[in-house]
Amino acid sequence: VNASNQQNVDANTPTLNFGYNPSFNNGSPRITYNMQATTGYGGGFALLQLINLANSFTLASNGHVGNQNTGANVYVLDTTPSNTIPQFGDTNGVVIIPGGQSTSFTLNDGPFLGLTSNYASVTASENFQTYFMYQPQTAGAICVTLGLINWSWGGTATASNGSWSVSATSFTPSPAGATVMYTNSNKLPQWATNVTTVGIQ
Amino acid sequence: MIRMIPLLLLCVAFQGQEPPARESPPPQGRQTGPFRFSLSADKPVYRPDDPILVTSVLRNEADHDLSIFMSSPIQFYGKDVMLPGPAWLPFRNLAVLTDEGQRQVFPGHMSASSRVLKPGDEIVSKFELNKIYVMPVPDDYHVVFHFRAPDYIGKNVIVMSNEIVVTIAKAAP
Repeated sequence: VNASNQQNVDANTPTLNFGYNPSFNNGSPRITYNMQATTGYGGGFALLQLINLANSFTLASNGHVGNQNTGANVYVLDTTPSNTIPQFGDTNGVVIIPGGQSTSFTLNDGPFLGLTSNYASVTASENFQTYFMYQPQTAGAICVTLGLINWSWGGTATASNGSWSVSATSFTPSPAGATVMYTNSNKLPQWATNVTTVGIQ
Repeated sequence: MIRMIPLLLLCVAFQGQEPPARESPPPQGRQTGPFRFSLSADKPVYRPDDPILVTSVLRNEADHDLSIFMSSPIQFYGKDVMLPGPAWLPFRNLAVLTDEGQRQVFPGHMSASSRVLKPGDEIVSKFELNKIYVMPVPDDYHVVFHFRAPDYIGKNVIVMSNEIVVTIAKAAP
């Protein structure tokens, strides 16, 4: 978890990032999903991601704290730049393979908060449920879950004399660079709303 | 007499208060490394309350795939909307975000992910500029978009779009 001037938003606004990307935009992602699938019948594979968050933003001008909060244990649909469902659709996220074949593909995600000069401090607390899903290619077939990964990140960035320092960082899985297998699951993702509707209040 | 008719129609079109639609092809953007970044507006002249619709096109001009780690275009691209000023001034102040622009550009939680552009692939994005930025007076606004290129292009390389001028005309009396 770091604060950096790596471009994520509006060209040069620093951000509080999950993951350290020492060389911006060289393909080093924050979290990487490596997927391999084999199917006897063919079908589509995709990721769908839910998020629970409790972020806060303290204004430099008057100390007012704005909260962006889904509520405890409430998960909503996360969004990616593509705004598709399942997500990552424009990054080959939905992979169709014929029966009897295997495929492997890699996706990634890098959540972050903008550190504008309006803020004295910004705190991130975000938990994710990422579902690996399969959809048979028969008419009307729905996506079903094959596995699930839970992951999270958090930290506080505080401004002082125009620069940002980071404290209270946390993330799972850990340590940094750890590789974990998804948990087998047939739990279907459920959400009531999209994270873009969870504004800063 | 026949030659007069198009001229007459042209005058009528302007007097009818409806700004003309852009008929020429959108301007070609500048190329930086393998990226061509083009910016265009749907009209050259807008009435004060017209939506100012601009389109950015990021195109892979290389003969190989390019990977780019980016958030949504409204967050990822730097958008310099330069306020009007006298021609002799060597700089322009930048327009500030509207409240809606603040919500769209800095919504709190955001995310970025890798996108692969195959040769010739384009990322086409549309923005309602005066919904995002405060453009308070009728005049000419120079607009340019930019972003920092991936490091495989070079360290701290900025990809710039072409500059466009959008004109907000004075309201009819």
